[in-house]
Amino acid sequence: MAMAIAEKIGALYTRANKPLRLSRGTTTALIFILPALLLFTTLVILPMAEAASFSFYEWGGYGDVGQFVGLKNYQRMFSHPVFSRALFNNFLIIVVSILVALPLAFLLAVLVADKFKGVSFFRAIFFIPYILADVAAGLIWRFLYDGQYGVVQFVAGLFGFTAPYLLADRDLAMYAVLAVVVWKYFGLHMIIYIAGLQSIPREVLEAARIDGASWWDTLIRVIVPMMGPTIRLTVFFSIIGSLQFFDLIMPLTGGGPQNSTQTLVSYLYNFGIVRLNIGFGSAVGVFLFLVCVVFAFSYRRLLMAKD
Amino acid sequence: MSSLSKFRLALSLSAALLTASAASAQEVVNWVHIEQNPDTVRVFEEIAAGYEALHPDVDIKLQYLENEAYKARLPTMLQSNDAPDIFYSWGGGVLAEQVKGGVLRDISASVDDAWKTSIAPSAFGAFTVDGKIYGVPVRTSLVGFFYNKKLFAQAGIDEASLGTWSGLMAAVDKLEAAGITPMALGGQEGWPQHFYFSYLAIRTAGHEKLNAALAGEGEGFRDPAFVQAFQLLADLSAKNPWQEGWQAATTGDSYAKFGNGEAAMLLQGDWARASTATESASGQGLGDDLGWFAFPQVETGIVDSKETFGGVNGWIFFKDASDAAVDFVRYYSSRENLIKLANEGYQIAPMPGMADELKDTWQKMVAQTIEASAFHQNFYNVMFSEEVNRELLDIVTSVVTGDRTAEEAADALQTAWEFSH
Amino acid sequence: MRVNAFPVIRYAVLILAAVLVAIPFVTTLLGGFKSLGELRVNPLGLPQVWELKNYASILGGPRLWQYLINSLVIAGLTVALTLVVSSMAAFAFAQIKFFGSGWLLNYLLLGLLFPVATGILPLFIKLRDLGLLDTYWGVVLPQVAFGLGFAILLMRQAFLALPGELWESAQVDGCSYLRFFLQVTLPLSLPILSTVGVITLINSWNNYLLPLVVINSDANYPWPLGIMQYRGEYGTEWSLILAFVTLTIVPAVLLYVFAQKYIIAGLTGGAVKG
Repeated sequence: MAMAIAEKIGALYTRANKPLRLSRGTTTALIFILPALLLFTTLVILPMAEAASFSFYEWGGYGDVGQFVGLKNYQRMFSHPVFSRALFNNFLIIVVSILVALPLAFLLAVLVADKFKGVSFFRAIFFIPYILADVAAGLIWRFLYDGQYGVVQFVAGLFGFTAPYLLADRDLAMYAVLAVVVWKYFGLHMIIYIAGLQSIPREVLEAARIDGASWWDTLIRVIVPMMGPTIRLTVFFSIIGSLQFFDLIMPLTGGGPQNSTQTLVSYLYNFGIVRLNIGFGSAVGVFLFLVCVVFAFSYRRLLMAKD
Repeated sequence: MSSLSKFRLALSLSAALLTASAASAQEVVNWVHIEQNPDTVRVFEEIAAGYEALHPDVDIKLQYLENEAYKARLPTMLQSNDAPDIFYSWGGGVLAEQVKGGVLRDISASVDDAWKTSIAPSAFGAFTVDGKIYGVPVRTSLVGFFYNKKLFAQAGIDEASLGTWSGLMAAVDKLEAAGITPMALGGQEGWPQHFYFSYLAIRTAGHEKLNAALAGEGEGFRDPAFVQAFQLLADLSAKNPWQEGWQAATTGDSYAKFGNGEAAMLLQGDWARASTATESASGQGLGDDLGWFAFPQVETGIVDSKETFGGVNGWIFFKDASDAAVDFVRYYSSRENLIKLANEGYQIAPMPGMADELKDTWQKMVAQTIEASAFHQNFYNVMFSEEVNRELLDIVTSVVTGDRTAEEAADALQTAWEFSH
Repeated sequence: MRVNAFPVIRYAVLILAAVLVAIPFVTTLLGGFKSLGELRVNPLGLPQVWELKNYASILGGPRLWQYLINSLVIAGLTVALTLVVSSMAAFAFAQIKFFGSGWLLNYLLLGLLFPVATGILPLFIKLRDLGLLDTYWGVVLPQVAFGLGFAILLMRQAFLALPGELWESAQVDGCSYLRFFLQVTLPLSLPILSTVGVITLINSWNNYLLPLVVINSDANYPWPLGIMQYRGEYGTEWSLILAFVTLTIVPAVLLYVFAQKYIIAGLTGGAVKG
């Protein structure tokens, strides 16, 4: 209740919209910022910087920092087939997100953007996979794909054939993972598209209708172009999401069979943390960091500058 | 969750409500185990309770971790100040790494001759690094083939033919011809398929060549005897004897598969006998249809090899572990407790005269086999560091899937080993 | 638009999609009510015999509750600390003019660019040295630190939208920054605080990697670790595992039902305008 009132008051005032700026407050400001600065520096920036330095060492993590080995960890990483496979899998996740999840999310967003009977039910169904923890989703799908108990096998049986053991097949397992990626994340993109669609002025759609444009024409010629910034944003999220992809992999495949479903982060975990190879794992971490930062800056500069 | 642990939870909650002084009178010993069998855990709890009764000031806290999860977390766990006091070890390369990292307590001073001889002194060797003792061996195991008598009869297999590798290969063919899955395998974790390679290598190379390779002598793992072991595994794999989907199956899945009577053989340690029952759909397993045969002799390998394969496991101690923790394990490893563990908890200890104390005839046979062995080889993978261990498992798996030839596999293993030295 | 046909097609498409999306949930929920034997022959349909013992044994035992309580404590501390620390910082960035403001803001926003995983190994060593391994704080503090960028970004936007007249009149009353922050800024910003709070809550509730590395003892496991342990222990007893999964999903669904406005605002507001 209090929230609703505060929101109304807030809405009332935002019309004035003259940013509030105080003066003579450097000391006060620093006191206000200090806790954030301390936490962030100790637990985000310093570890990152240390990762950079550890990556030049061979260190098992016990005792003092081990032996300086120069670029050996990086050489080893780049020549490791599993690393290339992990990188390729991250790429696959991005491709499938863009080619399958995003169009699907867009289509469904168009269908549930306006109000009609049952709309919140549909939105909820589509969105719930996203708020579900990845670990739980991974376990659910591990069951669905199970060769003996699984639903996939059962459904195949109804049509009179045997489904392959998806997660056991090194050539298929990654595709099974990708299907889960689409199921799990399209809801996020859908919600973002709905917000974008709702911000398209009604007059524009009205004008299109008066011009006699068909539903499809309106969608392609009017709505999609206007949604450009939003679409670029969901692409951005897909890529960042792919680079962090880990939680779902562990219960679903653990990176197997034969490392065919490793992603960069699961690779870092399995080859860095589990083997307690701090130096090697740090090298993978630094690589991941560089990919993220270079991507984020260039994407913003090239594609999102106008947004 | 057992009622005892419920009780413990209630106890710890009420302890938290009591004054701090009441709680600090207790010395807590944290003990991490990976035992899933409820009967074994019950014996653990009884032993802990027995010790607590004698030492009211000590509180032994059991914590269970699943096998794979335990291996994955142990390195990070030992970095924490609250690492467990007592935990499970396979000895070998990982133990050596832990010693090198300075995270273990050296218990040499506490292990007097009386303690040493009450267990087999040689077993203490598995937990000795550079002349210092770090652990107490309490368990030994034997790997071999479990088989389903009914399915063997169905396929017309004479059990007497299973003494040789060619006999086993023929049996696989017969089972496949009868439409029966010959073997169950939990391939996701890697170590079950490595049992095939290791046992074959015992038959073709023996422990002397393994020790030579581990000492960096001669051709190492490129020795023809190791190539041959990989080749025999490749030949078996070419028959595709494992259940469909073995690559993603956990060990538990393979126990269930075999316990449900859906696969005719299972190469596993003696511990799997109970698990094939508990993991089966009926909870009963194969009952009287359960059979066992030793790993066959390889005609083209060492003639009449008398070596056996299985692990030596024990309890090791975190560097900050108290004297009470060591004292507790001493109590745990008393003759009386080890016999109880073997008879009620299915864990055979490397203890002189163990076989005579066992009630179950099958267990007696396992203990006698180990006692009569010319050399009881510890698990190959644990002989290495964690890094090479995992690499070995990947290499063996790639041979099973046909991605590496025997020569390539032996070469890759030697390269991995050299890399870490 | 073909007005007449559209609603029918729309419902048809939506119902089909909803069924496909919901099948995994329904199977999981129902699977918990089946015996292992039935699960094998009938994974999809309604149970022939409704087995209550799976759910009953989990609800009756201490484990699920212990895991949920751990998750709740970790999430509660994370949300509280995130709100306090980031609202203070956002206030300073939005409403106080000072030298280096832009530079410091950009510094803190760096955290948005890369995931926890990149520095997880040194972070782990750092937490070890601080003696925070296997404690709630070992999970809470890094979660707060990594969530700061997002929280400050959203809050600063909201605080900037507050009208300047407020401070002018406050100054006449001789109001200090701190009082102004506590009595004016925060009360007027409850929607954004709720939004950030709810998103932080979900992230913490679902977090797996960080507790996986930091937390060791079963007694401190948040539920994602607990459920993996449970899965390891009951490997092939799928009906028990499905029941456990279902029970852990319930809080997430309830949260969505009661806080969907803030969840959506957090994801889209931060996104579309960010």
